[in-house]
Amino acid sequence: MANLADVSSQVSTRAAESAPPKKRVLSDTWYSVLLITPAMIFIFIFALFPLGYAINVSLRYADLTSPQGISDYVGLENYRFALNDNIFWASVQRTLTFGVAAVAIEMVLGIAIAFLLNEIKWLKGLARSLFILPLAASPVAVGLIWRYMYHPEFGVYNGILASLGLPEQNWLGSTALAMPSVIIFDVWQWTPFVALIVLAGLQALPKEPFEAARLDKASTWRILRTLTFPMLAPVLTLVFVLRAIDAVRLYDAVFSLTQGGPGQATEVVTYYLYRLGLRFFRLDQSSAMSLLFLYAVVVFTALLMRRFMRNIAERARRA
Amino acid sequence: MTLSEAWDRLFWAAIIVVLIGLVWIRFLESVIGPCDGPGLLVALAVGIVFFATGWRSAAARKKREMTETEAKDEL
Repeated sequence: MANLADVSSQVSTRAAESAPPKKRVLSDTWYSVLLITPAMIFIFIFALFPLGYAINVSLRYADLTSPQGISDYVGLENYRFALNDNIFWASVQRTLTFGVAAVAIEMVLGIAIAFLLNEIKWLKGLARSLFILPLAASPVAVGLIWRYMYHPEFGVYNGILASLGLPEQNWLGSTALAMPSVIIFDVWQWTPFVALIVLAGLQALPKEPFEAARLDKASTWRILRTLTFPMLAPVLTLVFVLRAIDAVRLYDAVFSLTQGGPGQATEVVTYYLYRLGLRFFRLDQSSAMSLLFLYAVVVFTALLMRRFMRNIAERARRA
Repeated sequence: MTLSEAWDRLFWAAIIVVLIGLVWIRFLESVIGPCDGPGLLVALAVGIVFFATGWRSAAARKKREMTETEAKDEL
């Protein structure tokens, strides 16, 4: 039976060899172009066209409350306004404050939690599932719940403070506490993201170098410093870039918690752009500012990714 | 210069052009008064010089590599 199968496979192979080669409909180049085309169309419609439109609007006078709407070209006047607008620069400063504080806390906590989750022996799956919960929730919905938790009279945080005999706080109504409150909310929501990615990176590390280090009686701190963190560096860079970009784009948390207040204490760039463009209908100025902001984010990301890609290339060359 | 190197250089040239334009508007115009044209020309000139320098150094590197390869082949 086995011989019969061998013979039949040989016959079919020979038949395939003797048959004339099938003519290919598309060359490799055109096949590649065909595969890329849908993604390119998508990118053009949803990224490049809006970008071009924003550039066009930023060079015109566009006050939607005036009868002419989007009208004549005004050159770089909107950029001149944006670069000399103190409210814009104050919102940039608040965005940077928020980004630095939130991302730093999230990275430190996320890495610590990832190490803990990597070490625990039981209920691993349950712990991970619980950690994903804040990520799965809608930021606006959770923001509204947190708004009630921060409430000065009925909020759970002031309840805890009162039970400890500490003075109650006006979490979202005080200029000193509003930004830290937004940061705490963001840390609660996004630390699990950092933890999960770092945990995946930790679990993908090879075991041999660590076993060799333990045999050589290297201290835990030395293993961390010379093995774990250098090997985790690409993952850490990636998660840092993702979180930093997301942190400077913060909008939903501010919208649901404080709406930029009290005063302008939590008015970050995106919220100011929303207010200027969609409340005051100055699409020209808000487009110019959003393009300046996009420029800053692109430069920051490009510099980090350049370093990241160079490190990966060096590692590949060494390997 | 490969296509990806040219694209990378072009990208950074564009970034530099925009940066010089922004610095011009933010700081120089407050001293010399509003003048878009000269600022644009200066920014573009710096961008072109940056791109051309990269192009020339890449061409020189490729020529050196080709000479080294030929020398190795001869050996």
